[in-house]
Amino acid sequence: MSKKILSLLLVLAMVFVFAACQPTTSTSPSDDAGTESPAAEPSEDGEEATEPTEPTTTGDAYEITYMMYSTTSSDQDAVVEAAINEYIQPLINATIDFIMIPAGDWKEKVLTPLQSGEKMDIIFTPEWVYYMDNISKGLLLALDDPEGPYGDLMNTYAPEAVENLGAFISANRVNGYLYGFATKKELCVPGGLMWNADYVEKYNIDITTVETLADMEQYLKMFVEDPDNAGVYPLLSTGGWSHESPFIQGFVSNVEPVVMRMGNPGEEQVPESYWEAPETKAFCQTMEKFYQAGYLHPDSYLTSFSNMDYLNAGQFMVSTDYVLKGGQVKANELMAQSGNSELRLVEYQTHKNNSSGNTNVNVTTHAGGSMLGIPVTSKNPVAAMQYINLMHMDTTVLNLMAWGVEGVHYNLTEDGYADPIDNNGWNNAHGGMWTIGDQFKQIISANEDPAKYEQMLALTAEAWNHCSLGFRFVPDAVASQITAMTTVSDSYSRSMRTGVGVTDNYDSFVQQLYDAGLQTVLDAITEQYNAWKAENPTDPGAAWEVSVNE
Amino acid sequence: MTTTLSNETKRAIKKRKKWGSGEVKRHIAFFTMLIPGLVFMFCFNYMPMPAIVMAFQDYKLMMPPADSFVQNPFIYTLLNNDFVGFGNFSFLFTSRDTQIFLRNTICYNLAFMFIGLFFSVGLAIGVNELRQRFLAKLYHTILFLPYFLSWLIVTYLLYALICSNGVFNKIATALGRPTMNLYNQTSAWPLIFVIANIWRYTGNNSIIYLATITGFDQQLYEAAAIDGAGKFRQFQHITFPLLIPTIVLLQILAVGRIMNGDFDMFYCLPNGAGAIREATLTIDVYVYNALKSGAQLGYPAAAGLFQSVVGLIMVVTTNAIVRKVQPDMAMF
Amino acid sequence: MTTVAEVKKHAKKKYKDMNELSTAANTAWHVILIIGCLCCILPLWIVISASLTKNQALVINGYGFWPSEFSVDAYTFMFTGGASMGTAYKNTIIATVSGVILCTISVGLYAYPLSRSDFRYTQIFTFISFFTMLFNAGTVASYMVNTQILKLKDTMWALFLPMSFSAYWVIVMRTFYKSNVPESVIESARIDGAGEWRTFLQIVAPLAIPGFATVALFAAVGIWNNFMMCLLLNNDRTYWNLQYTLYSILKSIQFLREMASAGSGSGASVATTAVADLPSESFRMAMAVASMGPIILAYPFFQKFFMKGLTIGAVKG
Repeated sequence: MSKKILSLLLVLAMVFVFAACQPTTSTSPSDDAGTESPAAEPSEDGEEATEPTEPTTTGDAYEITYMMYSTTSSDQDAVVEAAINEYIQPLINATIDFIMIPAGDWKEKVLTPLQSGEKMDIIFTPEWVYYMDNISKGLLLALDDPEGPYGDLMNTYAPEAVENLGAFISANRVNGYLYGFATKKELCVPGGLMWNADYVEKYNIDITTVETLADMEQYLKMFVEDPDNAGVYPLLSTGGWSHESPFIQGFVSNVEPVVMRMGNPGEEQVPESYWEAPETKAFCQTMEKFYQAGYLHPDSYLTSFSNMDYLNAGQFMVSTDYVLKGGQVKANELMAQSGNSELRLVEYQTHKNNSSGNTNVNVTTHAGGSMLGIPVTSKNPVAAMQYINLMHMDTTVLNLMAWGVEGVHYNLTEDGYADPIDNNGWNNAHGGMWTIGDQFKQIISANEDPAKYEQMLALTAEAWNHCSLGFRFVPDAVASQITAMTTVSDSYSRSMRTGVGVTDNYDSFVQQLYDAGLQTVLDAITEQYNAWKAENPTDPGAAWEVSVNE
Repeated sequence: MTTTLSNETKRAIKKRKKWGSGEVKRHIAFFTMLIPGLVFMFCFNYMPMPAIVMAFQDYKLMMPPADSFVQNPFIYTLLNNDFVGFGNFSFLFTSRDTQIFLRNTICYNLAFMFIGLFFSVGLAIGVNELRQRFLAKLYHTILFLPYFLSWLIVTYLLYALICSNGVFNKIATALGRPTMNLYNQTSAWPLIFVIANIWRYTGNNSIIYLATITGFDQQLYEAAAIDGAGKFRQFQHITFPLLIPTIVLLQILAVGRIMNGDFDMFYCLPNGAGAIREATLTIDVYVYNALKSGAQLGYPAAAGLFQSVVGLIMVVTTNAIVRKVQPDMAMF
Repeated sequence: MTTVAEVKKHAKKKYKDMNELSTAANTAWHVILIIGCLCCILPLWIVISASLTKNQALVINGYGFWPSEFSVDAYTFMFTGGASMGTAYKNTIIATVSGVILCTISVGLYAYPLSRSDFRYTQIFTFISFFTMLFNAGTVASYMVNTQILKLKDTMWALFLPMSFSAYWVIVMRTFYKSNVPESVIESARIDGAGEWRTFLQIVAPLAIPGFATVALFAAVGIWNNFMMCLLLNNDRTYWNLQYTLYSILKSIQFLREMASAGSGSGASVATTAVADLPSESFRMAMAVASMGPIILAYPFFQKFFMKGLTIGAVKG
């Protein structure tokens, strides 16, 4: 009896709470409007929502909330904002408000608020930071939908930037619409090996002859047999194998077990199961042999093993973990960052991933490596789009965002390079140059190779488009299988690729993937891919169009 | 004696429909005491509670049109989203791993409950009885310290102990024994988790028992001592019976969390080692993976609701059993 | 007051003489507890030693009882790394003190009627509070309520208000009242004509001090260690607490390192930082030390209330 009364009361309480909650919350937006944003009276909202207004009309400047992907939070954002606002307010009648979100907090500080409906105008939403998720959760506005509430934003307010971006636009469309406006940066990221030059010289290795694990075995053996090297492991790997993997990187983000072969320019490929490919298994088995021979650090497969530390200390001979950037750009960057003045690295781009030898391939993942989106909660997407346009077209805005205020955060050298002031709190606080507008229009830092952009562009110039460039998988229908599969592959993936327990677990691992629904997922991906392919036939051997800056 | 008396009073009060004058006044006082707590719970627990419907929805943010009565996007979305029934729960129950993570979650929780209880009560009694009060306090402070080390730090400590050239293997080598790799041994992990859990929480959990024991009437012990009862008999006949209500209560509460797990512990300690997942996969780890692979909000909401409902059923059942046996110890 | 002290002393002495642990048992307990303490203090020692080791050495040589290469980099980085530790400590202390007071009062008051057999609605109100322990609406809903209805975003309140009441402690406290405050005491107060509030404040509360101390301690630890609320609600650095400040420094170190090793990514901005100088592991350890220190110093203050020594019997008598 008392139970019944209790449950009845409980239900009543819930109803009461729900009822009580309703009026409070439904009136609250107008409260918000009064105190926080000047243009948020519900009626005004409506007007804005129905007719895209010309932004340069008179009235209070709109404040664009820019959720900035950052290294850390900084107190310098106000200084940079002030400088930018002074410049942009006459141009677009809007001001900018950077909210610097430390990268690790992105989910809690941006996605949670966004899902609760908080106002934001620009967010960072690349391929690898929930691009597809945000779209399928309905959080982003389509930027090129003429039927949308604000019309075709990007072609109306940023036509030149769109043209300049070329395939960065076409490759990022999902279901026919674009939701993220890319940063212009390097597009193909080739695989290769990173060598420690000290040991290359000591053992007199011709690194251009080492393309695969098999090629390096003799050197690894030589290394461990040398008593001078006690306690040092020659092969530094946490499972990367970009140097000889026959697959493209990140064919379907978040679904590691399904991949596509790189193949040769102009060839068609089909989705396939990563772990069942003979190359994958052979690689894991070789790694197991190496692991047992003591070529790798015995803890390579554990999360707390960090390859950076061994790289920085120069305690390795060759590493498979780094993807390259053309020329010696990556090696130079790593050396500069290592803080170890004695470290000498040399990179070598391998060519055995396909039979043509040209492994400079443009794939979807890299096209979407850095994008900005406009959330549905924006109260003025037009202003947001105009601001994004400025980031691509206006070098004043671009360099203010990238380097801060001249004289405060950096100095300009005589030859036009940026010389950042120590601890200036800006250029190390934001997420990096590659998150901002058009990277090739930014000023280069004084301590970098002046030819950096040329090297990166040269690499891009000889690149070719993979047949899957622009394909994106919408995972909603098989989400539960993907979850089950992720748990399995998360557990085993790194262990397998570093050669731990391959003989014992490999087949059971593949079986577990199937039990988790690999076949269903593979079928769903294949189906979507074929449907997409029918609409987007491959342009055979299409070279990458590069528009060098004016 | 007080217990039976109070029960009778309780029953008598229940039967009596009319309120006495003193009783009305007393209840007014009681209600004023409840107010601060009720306000807190209303604001932070009950106000967001209706959003539990998310578990049955395909949550997609919708912006309210300008003429909508509800202008809050979140509430508007909850009111207008499609209901998908129990669809969101399917990811929990259609996996091959379901059996594994349910088994692990429940078994680990039971192990932590009982073994933890033994150690916490033992520690409380030991510390309470020690003759050297200063040392007792010092011991307890030290035993309380691990509680402040996050699981992430513990992960590094464990790594230092059991990794390939960690302390254990160095000792093994020195003794001429073969080295072992615990990160690949499934059978070792239940023990590791239990030890880690006991190590981190015992000092902390014993505080409640310690505070309770401290509050006991010392005259009882003195009387017992005069009657010639030794320490063990005092424990048997005074401390333990008096401690039972607290023990029972804490176990009822623990039963309510039988489906929840100490996520950080299960996720961090294995350090990414794969072969041992049979022993390390719990429901929270599974849900975390769902989120990582981009599941929509309905999934974790569904999982949370499942954990809560199981907890509720467990608590109500346990409580009913306790009520049958010893009505005064029941929670409600 | 002197009489109380005397009585206390006397009671203690009498008690000691009559009923203390035999020497053998006493020694056995010492041995067991010392072993337990070693298990707890050695790892802590390792953490402290690691926090004083050069990061690179820590990675290559592993952890030890003595720093293999002494360095205070981690601590230097902590105090010069941009975020203000002073603000962080100040905020955390204010939040902890306020939260502890609020929590002890609200829990102590809420639990009291529930412990009384003559309160008619014990079951319902117990259940109302118990229900909140099991069911929660998820982060997004809580976030919406906290920011849009309660307006806690970027305020000091966010650091302690949401943690200032705990149903768990209500239920524990209720049992504590039941087992440690004899109903006869309350009964006699009523006969003397004292109102419920007076009875509670003058008679029940002093008897329940060990319970209050326990609740206060746990509230303090909870608020001290909480970083989730700060993470979700406070973007403004003037309202960051200690845990979140430390966490964010660590995250920025990790981010720089990850970006440096990631394929796409590192641009000119990162190139100006020497990533190897960023003490990620030793910082993690220093972080544990820095966040533990003050709360551990506060521990003995709470401890004296729930450990025998201040003999409750004497107060009661």
